[in-house]
Amino acid sequence: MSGITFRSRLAAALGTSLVILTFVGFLSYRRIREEETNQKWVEHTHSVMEQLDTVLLHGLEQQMYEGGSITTGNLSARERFRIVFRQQQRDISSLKELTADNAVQQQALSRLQSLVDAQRELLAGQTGSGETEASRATASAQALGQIRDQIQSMKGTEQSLLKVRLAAAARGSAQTKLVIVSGYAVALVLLVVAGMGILSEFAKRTGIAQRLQSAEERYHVLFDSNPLPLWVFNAKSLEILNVNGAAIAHYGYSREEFLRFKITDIRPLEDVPAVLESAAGASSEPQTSGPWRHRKKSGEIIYVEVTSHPLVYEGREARLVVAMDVTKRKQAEEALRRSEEIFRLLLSGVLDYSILMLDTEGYVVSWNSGAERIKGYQAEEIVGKHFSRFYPANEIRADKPAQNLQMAVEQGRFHEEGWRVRKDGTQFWADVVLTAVRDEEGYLRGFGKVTRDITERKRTQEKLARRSAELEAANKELEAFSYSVSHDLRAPLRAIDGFSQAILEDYADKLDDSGRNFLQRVIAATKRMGMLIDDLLNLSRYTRVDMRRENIELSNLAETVASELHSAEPSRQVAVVVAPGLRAQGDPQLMRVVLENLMANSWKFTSKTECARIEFGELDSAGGPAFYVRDNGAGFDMEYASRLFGAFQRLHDSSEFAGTGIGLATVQRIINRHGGRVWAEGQVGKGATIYFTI
Amino acid sequence: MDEKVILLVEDNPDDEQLTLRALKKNNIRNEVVVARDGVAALDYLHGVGEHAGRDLNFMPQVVLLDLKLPKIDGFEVLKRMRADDRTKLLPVVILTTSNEEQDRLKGYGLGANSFIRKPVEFDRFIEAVRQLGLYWLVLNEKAPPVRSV
Repeated sequence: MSGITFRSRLAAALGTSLVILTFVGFLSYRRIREEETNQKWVEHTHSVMEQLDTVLLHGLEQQMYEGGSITTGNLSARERFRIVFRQQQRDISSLKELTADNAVQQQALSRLQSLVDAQRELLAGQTGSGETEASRATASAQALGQIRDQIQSMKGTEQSLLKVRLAAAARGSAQTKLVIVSGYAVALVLLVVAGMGILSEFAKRTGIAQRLQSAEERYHVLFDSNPLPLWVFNAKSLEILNVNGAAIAHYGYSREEFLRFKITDIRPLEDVPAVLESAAGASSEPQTSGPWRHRKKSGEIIYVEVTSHPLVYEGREARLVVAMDVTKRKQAEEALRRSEEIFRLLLSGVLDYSILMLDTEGYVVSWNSGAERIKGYQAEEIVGKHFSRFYPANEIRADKPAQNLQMAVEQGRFHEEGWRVRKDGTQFWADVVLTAVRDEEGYLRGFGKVTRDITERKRTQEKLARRSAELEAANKELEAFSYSVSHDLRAPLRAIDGFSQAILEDYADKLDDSGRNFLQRVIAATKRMGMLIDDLLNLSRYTRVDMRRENIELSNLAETVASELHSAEPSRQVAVVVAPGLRAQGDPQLMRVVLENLMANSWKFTSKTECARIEFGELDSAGGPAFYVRDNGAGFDMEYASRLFGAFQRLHDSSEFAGTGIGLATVQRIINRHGGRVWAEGQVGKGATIYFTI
Repeated sequence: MDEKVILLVEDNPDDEQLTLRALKKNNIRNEVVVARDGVAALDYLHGVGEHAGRDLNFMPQVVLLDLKLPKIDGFEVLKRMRADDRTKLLPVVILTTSNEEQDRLKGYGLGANSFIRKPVEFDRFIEAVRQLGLYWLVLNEKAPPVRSV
């Protein structure tokens, strides 16, 4: 029960009692007045009766005087008679006044007057007339009897009137008594209740004061040893009144600093208005609020949840504050929020993948913009629908959606490529990964579904597969062709060469110089064609042969090739300089062909150079380290550099330097197969350099 | 008479002629039996068909075998020779236009003793035949004939 309610109830009880008592007092007063009135009426009735008796008495007295039976010393009977009669008239007059408000009695009084008048007339006329004494006495007695009857009747009327009035008064009095008694009873009850209320409230207030007193003592005991930062501040001035060790340790302010502070002094300036507002609205109940920002002495801002309890501290109204540092939790929440936001942004930003969540039954729970782009549904029209609608009709009939979910449940993950259906009914080739999503306890929470439209890739793959099948067929054909070339093309050549030779030998005497010269040319041409065929075969073979990659000691290989060149033509003086320790990854056989071709070229093109020199080395190029073979031979015109690597392309007359024009084409093929690049630099008469990377 | 016969298995008459000329040029005067396809070669070696009743104790000193042959190709001939006790140990020199790796592998795999590619230039061919004759007809001792005891 709050103080205000108690006070109003108390006021109501007391007020009601007061009203009742006032009312009862008023009733009592009115009752007394009524009693007084009744008394008057009784007296009035008595007066009327007395007067009436007096009238009768005076009537008797008149009769007596007239009869002469009574004699007085100084007045004659007649005189006495007149005095009595006047007295009687005064009696009747006063009766008239007394009963002025009563018409019945007035009427009766008029009759009495006439009766009295008749009696006096009778008595007075007796002297004038000569009637007998006996008849006069009878008439007089008769008149008096009538007067007495009239008076008796009037007394009866007056008495019954009095009876009626007294009865009414008695009734009123009984009601008044009831009201007074019950009024007093109610007022008494209310006063007793109010009194008890006052007593109990008093007891309660005494109890609260005692409890506050003991709470204060407990707080003192708990305060200093508490591991949580605590302080007490004045609820009005907000000054800090006490602070515990934990607060000092946690915030870094000294006790003295704390005790100089108001609670607003440990807050960032911009938070102060909110703090003041909160302090002003503080209730008498303990309340928890926050997180607030508090400032440590170091300037560091921490987030604090504050519970404040009201208490009386050294007689002042104060609040005890328990400060819980939730900075770490807040930071973790913030980090979580940020990571969730990033995750959400990531999901919604991904356009190339449809990423969605299904519930355990396969109904769509979430939808990203990638899904919208790929499948054509807006989130609001698809969320809550079953994911089977993405499958073609025949797969739905075959219960594939459910089977796929089941596989994801059993194996954790289900991956396939297959046709899926867009909103507009068109199909696309999808790469689908269904992942069973389980919570930490291992319960299935749903499925993650990531889908990518790889229709384009599938088409490319199919095209590529067709192309490689075609290519393989072409290769087979080429192989068969090469094989037949090596056999069938060479056989006739050998016959041409052989028989030309036979003619030259066996029929030399039958031919003139010119004839022999022609046959020499035939033989030279066949030889050349034989070389062309061999080189072509090699070119195609190096393109086809399976490649393996291993470490190659390029420097050693170059030395070997150089020594072969030397032994093939020991007469030539060529300085071959090989940089030591060069290595590369590649096919040893093919790289040997490369070095053979390049160095043989250099060997050939330096044949007319004095102090011929061939270098093999490595240098940095834009595309990484490049190897090179350099010579100081015939060189070439850079204008034709682009033609160097084409098959059958020759920059020198064959009479000058023999060759088929296939060597560099072969080199380029091999380097290309290694994923490298080959290029040339040269200058006519100054030499050439062929670079390659692998 | 212990003449060392050469069996030349060659379908191309030009090559046959040139081979014979090269042998002559090198003064190799041994008898040359020419078989113009694989079946003829096997008939001769196994004494059947055209060569039925031939003395099978007499076997060529060396077989010069071309690979591309009508009816049965050179590899098949080699395979059957090696499958037969009588010709299992005969020296066989594959003499062919091709030098495809697969052919060499297959040839040696089937038990060829040598693999020689016929050069286009006749000069070099003559030289090749000279060395071949010197080696197989003069230097090399063939395995003794398998005789029934």
